[in-house]
Amino acid sequence: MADELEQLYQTTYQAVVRFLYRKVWDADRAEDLAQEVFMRALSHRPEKPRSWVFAVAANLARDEARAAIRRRRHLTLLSADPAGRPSSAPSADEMVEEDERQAEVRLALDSLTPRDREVLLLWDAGLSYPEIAERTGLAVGAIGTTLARARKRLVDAYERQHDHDAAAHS
Amino acid sequence: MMLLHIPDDELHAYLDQALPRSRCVKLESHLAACPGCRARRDATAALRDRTTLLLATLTPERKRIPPSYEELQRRAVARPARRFLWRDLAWAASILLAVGVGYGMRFSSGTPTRPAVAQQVAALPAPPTATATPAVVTKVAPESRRERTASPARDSSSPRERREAMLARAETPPPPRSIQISTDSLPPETAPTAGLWRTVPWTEAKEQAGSAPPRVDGVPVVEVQVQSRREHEQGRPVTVVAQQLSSGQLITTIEGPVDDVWALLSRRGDQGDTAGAETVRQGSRLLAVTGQLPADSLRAMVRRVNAARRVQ
Repeated sequence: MADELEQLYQTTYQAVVRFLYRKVWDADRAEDLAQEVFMRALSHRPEKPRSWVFAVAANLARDEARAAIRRRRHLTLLSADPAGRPSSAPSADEMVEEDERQAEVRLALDSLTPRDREVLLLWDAGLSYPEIAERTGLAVGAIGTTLARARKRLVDAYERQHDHDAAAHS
Repeated sequence: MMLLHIPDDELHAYLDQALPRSRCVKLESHLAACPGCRARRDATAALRDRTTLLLATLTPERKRIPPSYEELQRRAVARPARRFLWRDLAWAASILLAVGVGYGMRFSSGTPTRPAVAQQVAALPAPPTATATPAVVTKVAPESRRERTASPARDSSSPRERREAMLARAETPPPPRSIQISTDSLPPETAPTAGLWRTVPWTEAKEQAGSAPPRVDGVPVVEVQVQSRREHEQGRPVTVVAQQLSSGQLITTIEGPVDDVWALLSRRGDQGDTAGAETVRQGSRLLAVTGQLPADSLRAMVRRVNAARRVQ
């Protein structure tokens, strides 16, 4: 089991960070939560660690989102050193462009239904159809349908957003 | 059976390599003969690639090297097991105890409060006497009954002497008054960053932190808490300084690594603490000032503390 977990950690850690980042939108927090996920896996020794890891990651991200909402109510962050900013940024223009692109994709992703988004993110994290089905409660046969819809909606929403932003800038 | 056309979901599953081999063979033989389905397969593959590329833009900047598996194992072992029920109960009990002690101390810290203690004593149920009804005696828990029967008060012949004896016990050296405050600011053991928290004298806090813990100058400090560093950690520990304004309101200055301070603030929110907070980040450290004050006041304070910290 320990070997299996170690292998999972080596191969899946970054995927878990990405998965969490797309839910909490904070790179540092995503890394913290990913480490928490694997530490819990080490304590619990789940039978199906891969599926378990993403299930726990999704739960932690949900808790984090709730906490973030509470923080936003009470806090105003005066950030002298904004998190998520690359330390070796290429240039201001490139950074702005990349930020805009990220914002457009993020908006497109947020426009999906929670179920479509979850299935898409789990697929992108490398989970198989049966693993996604187990995690989401969908039938294995429904994963293809859900992914087909989610992919199309993501691309459509992104292009709409991109066109809208381009028109606003011109 | 000959396929009419391949449905979209099957094309996605086919490209995701999620179909059984036998089904793939059927699809491939159909694709070989059906240009329409081939075109749809290509469009689906393009859509799939486009989705992957879009999602790839949402990849966080890799800022830290993840811990090795061995390090993670070590941390998992070092971390106490999560026993929610018992920890929560212990935490609730400690709050009750601290509030109780604080409440008691309010009445026992000087001569004028003695009547108040006396009132409390008077309000206590009388120890079993000959006049007590059997029903009352049987309701007393065995532990507390033992304690009472062992007390000198039982041998006192008059209620006055019994009260005097209890007053004498109430005058045992009190714990510092700040315990009452610490229940508000001390994070529970279940906090993800939990090390050991200690309430320490100012000089010791300075020694542990390497310099004076950040606080608002000119405001009396009522309590300093320091989270002892864990084995693998370097640098200054997390410090929490509680200060009392002339209006009687408490403000708390928290300083430490960003994650730890956020965890503390988040925990306060989880516990329903409605105090506002203002923060300022400097590198990997976060400074926060919290209190039931307007945001502008807190912001001014955190800036002031931050400016003083930079001068140090």
